[in-house]
Amino acid sequence: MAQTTIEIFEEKRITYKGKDPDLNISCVKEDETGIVVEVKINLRRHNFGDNCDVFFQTYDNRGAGNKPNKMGKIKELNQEEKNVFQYPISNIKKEDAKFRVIVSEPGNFKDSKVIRLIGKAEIPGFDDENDKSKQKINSLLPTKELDIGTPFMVDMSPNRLPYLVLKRGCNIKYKLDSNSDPVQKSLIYTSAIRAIIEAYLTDHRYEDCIYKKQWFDLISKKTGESVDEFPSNYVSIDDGKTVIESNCKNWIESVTETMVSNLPDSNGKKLIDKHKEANFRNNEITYSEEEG
Amino acid sequence: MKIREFTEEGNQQFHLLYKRIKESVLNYNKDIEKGYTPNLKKKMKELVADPNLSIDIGGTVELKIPSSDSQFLFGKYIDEVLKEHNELKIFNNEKLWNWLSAYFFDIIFHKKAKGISEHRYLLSDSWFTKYRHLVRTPWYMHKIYNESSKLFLHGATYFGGNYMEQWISHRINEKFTKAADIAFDLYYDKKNDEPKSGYSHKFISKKVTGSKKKVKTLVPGSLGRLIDKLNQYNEIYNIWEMDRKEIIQLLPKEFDELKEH
Repeated sequence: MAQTTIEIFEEKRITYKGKDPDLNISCVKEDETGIVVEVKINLRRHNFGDNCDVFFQTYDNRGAGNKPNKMGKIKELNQEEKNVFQYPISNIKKEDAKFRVIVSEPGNFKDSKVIRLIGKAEIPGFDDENDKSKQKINSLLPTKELDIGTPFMVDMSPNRLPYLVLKRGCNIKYKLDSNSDPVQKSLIYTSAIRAIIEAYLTDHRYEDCIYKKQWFDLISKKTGESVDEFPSNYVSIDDGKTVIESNCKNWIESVTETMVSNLPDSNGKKLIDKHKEANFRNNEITYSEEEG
Repeated sequence: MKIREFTEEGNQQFHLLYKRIKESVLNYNKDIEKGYTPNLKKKMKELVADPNLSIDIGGTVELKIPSSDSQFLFGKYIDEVLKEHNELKIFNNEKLWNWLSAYFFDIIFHKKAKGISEHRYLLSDSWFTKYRHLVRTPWYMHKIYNESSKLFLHGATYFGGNYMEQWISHRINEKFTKAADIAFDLYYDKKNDEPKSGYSHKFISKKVTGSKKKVKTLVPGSLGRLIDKLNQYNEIYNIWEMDRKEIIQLLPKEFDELKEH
């Protein structure tokens, strides 16, 4: 049979979760200057050579990697059952941190000297199952583009994540996903989140929806209010006629305010303040100009 | 004058004044020399000096307007005068950068400038446009890349160059500063003290022979191709520990004419 792939090296995957992982990464301190990361590592079960070097690297959520910290040579690390390191990482938030552990050894490629990676683990963040507060609105409301008539709509269905559908060809998805337009963001999300909560409180088909539960848990985290205290109905029947419950309507408004208008960015600036500033700055100058 | 930062009110006043200047320039068909009138210049000077609209940030350095219009020297100068301040406190400090923008307004809002986009003078909080600021970006580039920033800051204080534009948005370059040294080695013509032309864009539009159509064509050995290769090498080599000459040697044939022999 023809060989279509070349196996460059035999590598057992370096694990960071599951039973007896090779690595364990936790955040031991977080303040306004950054975080302190503790890394426990044991690579004995791997067949790396004694002279290979092991490094720990931090990335931010935009993919900018810090200079890797050298943890030591394999022969040094393999002397201990568990090696524990602590690294202060400045100017990064806990929820934005990603990591990489690399094992490298010097070699040659044609006439060039190289330092080849022979083992690697990409760790997407802290594995902290108890901390759901870092869950973002966006992860519960993915965006997609379709050919719709209006600029946006919410597409919902029981036991499926709601989608924020954006009109194709209008560049709205780009503006929202890149977080580059606070005006569109605040207007669209205010309307979308209001619509989602209204649907969850009105339509009986969502009673057991798993995403309704996730949304309500997130709202509870943000507002500090227990889910048990949330209103249960948006509308009621009064004398055979449908009536909107004003208390519930007010509650939805206050939740939307917390989830959208008061949503802080990484510098603590609220979305509504960015909206104000953007409107103030772009008041009447609306033309395209050439950058030089 | 010592370095200051605007108060909230001062920052708002700067935004308003900039808007007035921009409107005036537009009324003169984008002619900065005519639109940035003596009266507006006077207002800018008053805003900078008004002690009620800005506060001293506690440094010892007396600022001065550079005599040269070199963006590289300007970045170097700003880097020097801000060295005594805590980087974390100045990095995204909009009121500081905007006050500096107002202080240096005459050299960054120059009659020869080709664009008057507000992002050049008012610090944006979007990372897509933040780097266009004509005071912060020269500072940032020099602080991170030192002498190699000459490649990206070639030109005048009121100019946003192509090499910089193509470079700064790529995340690998943010901390892997060796990348800038490699780019400087490859693309800076040391003999003529200027960037080599034709390599700043990864793609160019080329006319199809015998047709009016243009096609997007990859530029071999361009800065964008270098960034592609560095991203690839980062997955298979420990480039952080490798010497920059070793990395340059790895680059494929398309870079041969750029390598020093």
